[in-house]
Amino acid sequence: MRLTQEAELDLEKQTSEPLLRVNGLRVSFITRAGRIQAIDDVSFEVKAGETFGLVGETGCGKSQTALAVMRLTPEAGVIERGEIWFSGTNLTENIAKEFKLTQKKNNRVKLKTNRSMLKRLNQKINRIRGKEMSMIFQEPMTSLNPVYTVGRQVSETLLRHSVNMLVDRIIARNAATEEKLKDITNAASRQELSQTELRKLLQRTGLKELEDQIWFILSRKDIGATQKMRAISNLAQHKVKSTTLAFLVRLKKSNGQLPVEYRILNKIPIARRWLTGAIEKEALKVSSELLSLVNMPNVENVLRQYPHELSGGMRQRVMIAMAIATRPKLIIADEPTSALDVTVQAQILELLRELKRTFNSAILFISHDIGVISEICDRVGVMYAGNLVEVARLDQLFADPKHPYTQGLFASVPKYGEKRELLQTIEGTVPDLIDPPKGCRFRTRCPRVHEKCSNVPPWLEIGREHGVSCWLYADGEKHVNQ
Amino acid sequence: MRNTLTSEEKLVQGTRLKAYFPAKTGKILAKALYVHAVDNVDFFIKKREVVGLVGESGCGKTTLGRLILRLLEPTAGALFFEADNDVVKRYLQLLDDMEINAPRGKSDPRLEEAATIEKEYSIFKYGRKEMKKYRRNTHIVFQDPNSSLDPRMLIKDIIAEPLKAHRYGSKAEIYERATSLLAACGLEAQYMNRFPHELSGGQRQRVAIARALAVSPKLVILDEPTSALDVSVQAQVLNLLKKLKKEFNLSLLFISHHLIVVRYMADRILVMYAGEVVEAGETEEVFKDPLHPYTTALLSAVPVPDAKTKRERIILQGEVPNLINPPTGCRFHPRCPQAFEVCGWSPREVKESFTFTLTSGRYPTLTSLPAIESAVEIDDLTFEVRLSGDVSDNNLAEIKKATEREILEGNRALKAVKEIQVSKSPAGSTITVKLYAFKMPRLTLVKGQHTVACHLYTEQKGQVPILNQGASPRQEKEAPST
Repeated sequence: MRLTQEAELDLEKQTSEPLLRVNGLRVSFITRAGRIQAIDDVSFEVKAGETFGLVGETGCGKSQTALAVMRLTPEAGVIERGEIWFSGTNLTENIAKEFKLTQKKNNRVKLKTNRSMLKRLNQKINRIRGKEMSMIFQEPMTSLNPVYTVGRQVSETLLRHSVNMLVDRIIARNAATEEKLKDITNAASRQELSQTELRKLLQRTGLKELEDQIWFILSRKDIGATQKMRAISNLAQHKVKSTTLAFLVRLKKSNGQLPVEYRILNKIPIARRWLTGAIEKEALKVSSELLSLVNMPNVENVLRQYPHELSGGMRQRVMIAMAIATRPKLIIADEPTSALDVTVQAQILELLRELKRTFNSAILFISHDIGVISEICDRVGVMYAGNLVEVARLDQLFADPKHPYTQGLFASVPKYGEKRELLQTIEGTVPDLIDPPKGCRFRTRCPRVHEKCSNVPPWLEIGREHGVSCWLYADGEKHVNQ
Repeated sequence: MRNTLTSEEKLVQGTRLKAYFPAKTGKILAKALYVHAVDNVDFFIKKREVVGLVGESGCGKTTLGRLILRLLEPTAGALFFEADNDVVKRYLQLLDDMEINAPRGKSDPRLEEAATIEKEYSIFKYGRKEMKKYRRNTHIVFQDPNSSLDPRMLIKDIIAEPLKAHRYGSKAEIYERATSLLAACGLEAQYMNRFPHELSGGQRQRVAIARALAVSPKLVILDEPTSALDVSVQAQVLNLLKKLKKEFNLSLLFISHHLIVVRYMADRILVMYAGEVVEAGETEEVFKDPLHPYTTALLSAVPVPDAKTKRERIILQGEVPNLINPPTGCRFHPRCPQAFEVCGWSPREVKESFTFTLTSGRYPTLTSLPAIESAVEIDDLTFEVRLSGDVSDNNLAEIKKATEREILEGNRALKAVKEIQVSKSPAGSTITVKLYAFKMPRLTLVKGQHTVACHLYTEQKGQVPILNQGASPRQEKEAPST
């Protein structure tokens, strides 16, 4: 069963337009010492439902690529050129104009202009960012706000992007009666319902909108059957006042935009509380569901706690819960496990795999740890000094790395269970990106450097889903055996 | 364990080391609380041996390293450096003896003898002069070279500082030695007159290593020496350490959470969990056949950079315990997938599982039970559950059956249940639950040089069928015979 599903998924992956397409991306940063060419000519695709890994050493531009995709490049940096297409939307529409506007003559950036432009950009992109794509940051301690409770932070995303969903949930619950829910509890106690079965059943009883809430209760592992049934029939009791309901219905009709009379009320703090209280409560409720989805123990307590009261693994779970709150199509995970211990890391990786299966989201997974990459990714891109040097399917990359840097990187990691006297190393250090080597940037450290390398190497498709940027493979396989 | 401790050529030998740190309670008159960072740790390092110390963050690895350097004063325990084997043997004998027959009063001759041995040989009893001598024998390399090198000192002065402190020779001699050390660590003489910020991370770590070797110590403690470095640089540093170890005849204590690196470097490893050493043995033996369930889980969680072999993964549930109030018995038992009766279940843990079983609604036959009024811990091995109504004999049988079923389904805490009794009174029945007595696991020699602190290898398990009926539910792999 699962196999055929996966095969179908594979087919779908191959035929469909990629979810994310980055084309010729170039980002640079302006510092007093000069212009840092952080990313130069990076192109890759992430297909729907796949996990794409970016691997490389410190300062190779992995994180900046992710930030550029989210259009979160810090204000000292500019996207010079390139295209970022995300599920049919061009995120870099006016990039040429923006770039021109921010440039001063002496190779400097007009910071002020850049700042105001970023503001305008944010207004546009906020509809996508956090909703259709979201990010899990490396250090949860610094990316969670220390002065807000966990519950507030998780519900923030929901309140920003999913008010409609929250309103739907409240209205649907108000429409439910205990008699109708009884049908469902009866059916559920007789047999284990699958999600499709539940959906059919709910459509028959006219409680379609309750599907998420009921399915969540049914799929909980921490309570027994009786408690589940009780929780389902309790749904009918969580009702709101008729005035609030009237407001919510109007809110829904006007498509999330507050009607005029409410817009005035919304200016008065107390009235605002009355208006939005129900929605905020609902957001907290969804937050608790999300947190138990990421296997958080003791959810009700955690909602009221502050980030510093949690352990590293729990904080990372909060970050993940925030990232999946809106069921994004793309999750960007920037070193999500680097600050964690191996056992916790294993827990988090398992969780990400599971969530991917449930929501079928694509993941852009960034890590410096080849081991972690090999655990979770379908395809991998290797970055070096701002360039993408190789892209391949995971098994291909490990079986047959083509680029000398990839080969060196793999060789310098001690192999599990292999006892060698000395590790192979890559001589030298990562070049200064203010004045990177002309041509291939790996030229200065490459053991197989030759005269052609002072020209920029072309991108070569050398196999099915296997691309490399190296002169060694340019004219057939001529240089390979030298 | 004892016979391995007394074999030849021990450089350092620690016995019953304890380091407790006072914890703030926030209350003035509250009982003083301590973080049990290192508890009852026995270990040794042989001459010219690399010992790897692994474990998760917060397990006491670094604290143990600092105890060896006497950067911290221990709460209890002794550490012998190059001490006569017979003396240490005698000391251990005395300790063992006193553990079996507790000393009578303060004037017990055994206590006095142990104290004299400590006074003469333990480094914790060294005076100023002796301590200064001892400091030439040990040195440390810290994790982060950015913060362990003084930014205002030149490289040459950083390396010369320990030489000056120990009056190595004239100024010219000192700088000559500094140059040769730097050369041994792979840096040219031109770096002598630079500041740390002018070097890259890998170069800085080389300087830290050169400084550690300046006074030709016999033991160097490496506290996560490569965690802050990139993989290609890490390989360079690891190779350097291997080379220096041979050149300088060093013993190394390699503290790291990165297991693949430890496997590459170490001859023998110690595995720590929550302040205790749970397993020690030859590196290859431990990696190939880990005995302690924690080691097994830890090793299985290591992400292996290999796309083909996908290993069976043991994902640990729960979090590392709070060391202010560590679990009784084996500290790993709350998370251990193989925990059984004697592992240290406290009434508090079992009480929770037991009341949950009664109320979860998973067992329809238990729904007729009267409501639970309270659950109280009576002593270390008993707790009582008071119910509002009567419990019939039939009910008792059902409770026993449900308990057994829970155990079969993996509710490990209930394995500790020895007896369930019911006493009736007019106010309602009381269920008294008695638990099996638990033991502290001690490091025991299981095979070859491989020691482990786990009851799976020392205690008979499942000798008493649960509640005197039904089959034993445990399916652990049997302990390999010695």
